[in-house]
Amino acid sequence: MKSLSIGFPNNNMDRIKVLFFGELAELTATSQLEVSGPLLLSELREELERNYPTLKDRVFQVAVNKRLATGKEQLNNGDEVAFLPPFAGG
Amino acid sequence: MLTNQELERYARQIALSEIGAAGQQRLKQASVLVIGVGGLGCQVLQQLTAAGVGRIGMIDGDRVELSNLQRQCLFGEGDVGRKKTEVAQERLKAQNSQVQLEIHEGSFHPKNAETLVAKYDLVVDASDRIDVRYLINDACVCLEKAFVYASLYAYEAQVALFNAPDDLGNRSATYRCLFPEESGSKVQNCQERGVLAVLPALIGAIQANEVLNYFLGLSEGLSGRLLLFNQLNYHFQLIEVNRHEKAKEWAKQGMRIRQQVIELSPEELREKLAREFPCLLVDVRDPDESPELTSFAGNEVLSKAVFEKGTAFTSESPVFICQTGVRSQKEALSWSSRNNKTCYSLRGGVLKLKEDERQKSQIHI
Repeated sequence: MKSLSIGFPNNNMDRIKVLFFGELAELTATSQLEVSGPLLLSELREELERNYPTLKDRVFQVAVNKRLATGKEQLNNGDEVAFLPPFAGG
Repeated sequence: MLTNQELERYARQIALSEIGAAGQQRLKQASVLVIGVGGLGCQVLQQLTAAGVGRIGMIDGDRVELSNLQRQCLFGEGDVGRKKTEVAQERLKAQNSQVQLEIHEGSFHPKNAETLVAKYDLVVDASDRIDVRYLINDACVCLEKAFVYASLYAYEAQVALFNAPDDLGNRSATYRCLFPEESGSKVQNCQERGVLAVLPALIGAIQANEVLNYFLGLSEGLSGRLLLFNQLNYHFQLIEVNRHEKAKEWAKQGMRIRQQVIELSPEELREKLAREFPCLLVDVRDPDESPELTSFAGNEVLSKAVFEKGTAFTSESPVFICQTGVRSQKEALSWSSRNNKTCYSLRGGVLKLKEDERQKSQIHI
């Protein structure tokens, strides 16, 4: 597994944009970060879980380029990945 | 047919050529069930009543609390302590006397879910509990009804139109296509995480917009798409969600399992133990949680670890117990699903049990 350099966004298309919603943004203390591609979605998840171990206990879905992911996606620079937890409030 | 008064009242939306009198007539003939009269529900109800949806049902077992007034704009200071649905009905009646407003007593529950959903054309999920959201999904999917979902977390919201038919009669994604498994008590609601005044009103208005759109057929709206909104930075995003081939199967399974899980009050548990002693009681809490519960009414209480090791227990129907009744309910649903058998969950958990015992001992003194 390659080591990823996680950095703050500067809107460039040379990286993969990762967005966190709801309590996942609180858990990772950011709503957005960037990683370098290409890599598999499963690799990104593993790397994020290493950096934020409590992510493993959370229920969430992942969307890649605004479509719900299957889990097998290959991610390339310029892609956008969103981590979506369920919300309860109303 | 619309009356002259109705033609005048709804003149501004009738003026939209895509709607016209025919569209307004469709709204008049439409019926909607709003589940939850909280932050979202108050706004949805006001908008639908104003727009002239013919028949609106509502269900919420709660009473108005002072802490509701900051965002639930149907209620005032004098309403604290009154039933939410009663106050809402009064206010909405004053807003539009032509709309038929129906109150359903109690809360939306596995026992009444399908009967209630069957009475309406469309359902609005304005609830504030994750288990109710799954129940709304399962009842609507089983009965082939579309529903407008919304939920909030702090400054963010999710909205979608689920299980809506297209022109060919194929239905769009469901809540379980987005989140297949119930995530239990880990998801915080507004009470736990807090909510800033305007968000429920904004999102409730979007839900009402989806309802009007659904009946008027103006666009596909949020069918098959999840809208994400952030109140602080105004980011709107749409995520495409496809229907899973097992969507209906999951919903049916969800409804079936709920019938197999029976909630018991402490009193009902005592009665059960009096009838069929000994019972299999299982404490699903972590071992270090207090107050400790090793036996109840002379009946041993097993820890989850001991229960899971014991293969001899599988023929019995266990009673699951936790601190407040939330985790035990989740465990019961999961056990019942795996074993396809009835089981029980103690309502209110150990805290309620201890409170009951304390009250009983005071009475005896």
